[in-house]
Amino acid sequence: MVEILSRIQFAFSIGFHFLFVPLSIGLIFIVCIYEYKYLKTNDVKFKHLSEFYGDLFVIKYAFGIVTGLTMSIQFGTNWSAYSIFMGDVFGAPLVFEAIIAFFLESTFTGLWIFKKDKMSQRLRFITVCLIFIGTNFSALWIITANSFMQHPVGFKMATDGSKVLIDNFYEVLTNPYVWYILVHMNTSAILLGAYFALGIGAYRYLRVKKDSDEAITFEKGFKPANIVLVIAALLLPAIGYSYFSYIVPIQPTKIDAIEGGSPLVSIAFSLMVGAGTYFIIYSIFTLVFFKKYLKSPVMQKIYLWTLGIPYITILAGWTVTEVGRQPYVVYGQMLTKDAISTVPVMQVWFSLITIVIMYAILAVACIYLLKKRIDGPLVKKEEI
Amino acid sequence: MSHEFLANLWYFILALVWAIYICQELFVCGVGMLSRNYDVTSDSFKKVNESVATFWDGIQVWLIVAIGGLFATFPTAYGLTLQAMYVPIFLLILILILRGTSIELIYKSDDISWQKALARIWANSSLLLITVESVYLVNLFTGLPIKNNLMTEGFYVIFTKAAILGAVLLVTCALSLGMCWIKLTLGDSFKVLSKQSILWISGVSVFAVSLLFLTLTNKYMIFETGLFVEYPILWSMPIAAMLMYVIQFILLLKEKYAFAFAALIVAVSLVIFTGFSAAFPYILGSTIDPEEGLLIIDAAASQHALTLITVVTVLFLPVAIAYQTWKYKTFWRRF
Repeated sequence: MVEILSRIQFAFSIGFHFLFVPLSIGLIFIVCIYEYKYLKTNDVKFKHLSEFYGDLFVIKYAFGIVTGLTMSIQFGTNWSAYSIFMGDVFGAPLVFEAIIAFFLESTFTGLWIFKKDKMSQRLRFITVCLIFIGTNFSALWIITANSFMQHPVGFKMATDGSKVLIDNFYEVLTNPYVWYILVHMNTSAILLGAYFALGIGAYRYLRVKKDSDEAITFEKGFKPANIVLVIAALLLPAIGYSYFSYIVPIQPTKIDAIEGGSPLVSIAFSLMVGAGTYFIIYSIFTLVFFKKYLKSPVMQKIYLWTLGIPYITILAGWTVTEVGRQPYVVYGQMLTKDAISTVPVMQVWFSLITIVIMYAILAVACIYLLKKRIDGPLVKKEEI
Repeated sequence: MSHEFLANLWYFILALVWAIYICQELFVCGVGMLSRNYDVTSDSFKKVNESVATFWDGIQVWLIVAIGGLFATFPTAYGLTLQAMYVPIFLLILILILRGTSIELIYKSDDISWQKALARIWANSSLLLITVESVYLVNLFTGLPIKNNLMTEGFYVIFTKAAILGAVLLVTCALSLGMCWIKLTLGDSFKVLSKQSILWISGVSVFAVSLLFLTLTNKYMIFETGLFVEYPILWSMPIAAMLMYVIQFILLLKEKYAFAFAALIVAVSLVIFTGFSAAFPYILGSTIDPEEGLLIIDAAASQHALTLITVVTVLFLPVAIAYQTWKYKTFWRRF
């Protein structure tokens, strides 16, 4: 029972946390672009865009950081056998993530939220770039840890067989698996960010007069977002294909799962491929017929209505990766059922129920705040 | 460097990380508790919120470094401690979630009832956060009823007399530090607490620290084994801590907020170092039988892993400290 509950809790809490992570990476990239345009052109319209999407980023970020805290303790509370057995290799990337990435992201996000009005244009641009770099470092280290679970390299067994030890960390970090997933993941995140910018932008753009300041602001914003979307959409299948050929020899059970061995995994895989094709076609279409796109409410609304698709695609991608890894927690080395903690089952019920309730509240609060900001005035009243 | 040296080094680095984290968390939470004195719609509340919310998320990472650092350098201690303290750890997480979202999102909606609700959550979660963290730390110092690496009793046994005294101590410190922080960032004329109230609060700290040390000595006898026997000079730490608490009281009496702030930080750090030094050589002590405790060296990661983590920390942590210091220096008074 402890195993089942811990699995549900981990899947639920990481899935929920993951609703915030890729959009944070993607949105801050879009903010970087607008902030760069503002720095170069000195056009306040780009400042308004950057602050509008920046506010949405901040809301996402706050929920991402608090739900990430749950992840940092769960390996110990629920998977202590795993932590003890694999900790020598698995712990290092996690602490590197904190030291190298989290400090950077959070220090400068705090600065961006509260002090952006007291900064020069240059410092504003540097700040958002540092946040973007921080989010990428964060992805690098967590994916390094995850890749060890997918394709363990650079380790050796302790002489008494009680745990796994680091043998060569360079191999752990240069594990090709890390770099395939990292590039694939971050490109997907940027695609999501651009898609979100276009979808939410369309929502506002269609509600204002076509010659208003706000309409002109969003028109300026659509072009860069659409270009980013096309580039990301074109890159993804290329990266995905090379990643697929790479795992064929190293994770045979995952390939079996994709080819029909596990219905969940194979459906998730087809969904990812189908959505990827759609992204390419539609993003190129709107970019080629950009003038028509600006005049056509339907073409714009498609981005809004289908905002769920990139999200579902990313989750589908991770479902393939993680469910495809089962029954192993570390591929070929340790089974998930051997990884659990020795705790009273009542305690796991307690944590699972409280987390579900708490996250439900967070979800409502997040949607409420996002809606408030999206519906609110584009430019907040200047404070005196 | 030998394996044992690295393991002991990391034990004290983690103690230092805890000290750095707690000192900052105390003033953030203190300001959170004191925010009840202001109306959420007032300009004062906004300023008070901004004075800590700007720094809050950077500070939070120090806690993640403490937890992640424990995982990386003492995987066995991470697994066993978190498993033993399952319920309190999840309580801590829930409180951290409430505090984190409320401190940052109060003004993300202009709805007054939203703002009022979040302001209340911010103040209450700040109080609870310090309470649970104090209980956690004091239990690390005294040890848990552990046998064969497992808890033998319910989780509620962690609420010992020592743990509660620890909580009283840190909550009062948080209030004093919070008051100093507001005075330092928003100006001496900014109204916080009456002088009488702050002196009561600061006075309680003086008694709480003495009672805490007395309990740790008489009931848990944590100073009668390990480092304190080997190096009697270490007694200077708890004594200096108590002295610093008297000094902070005098400084608050004289309204020297910058010095009081510094004295409190030194005092709290000394208490934390005293606790970690007294628990040495156990990283997770047992109150049933010391032999059942988990030794630092047995919990440590391999020499290879520790060397690697040391190198990365030496290279990158100073950079993080540098830009965090830059941020404090540049923005703490920029409103």
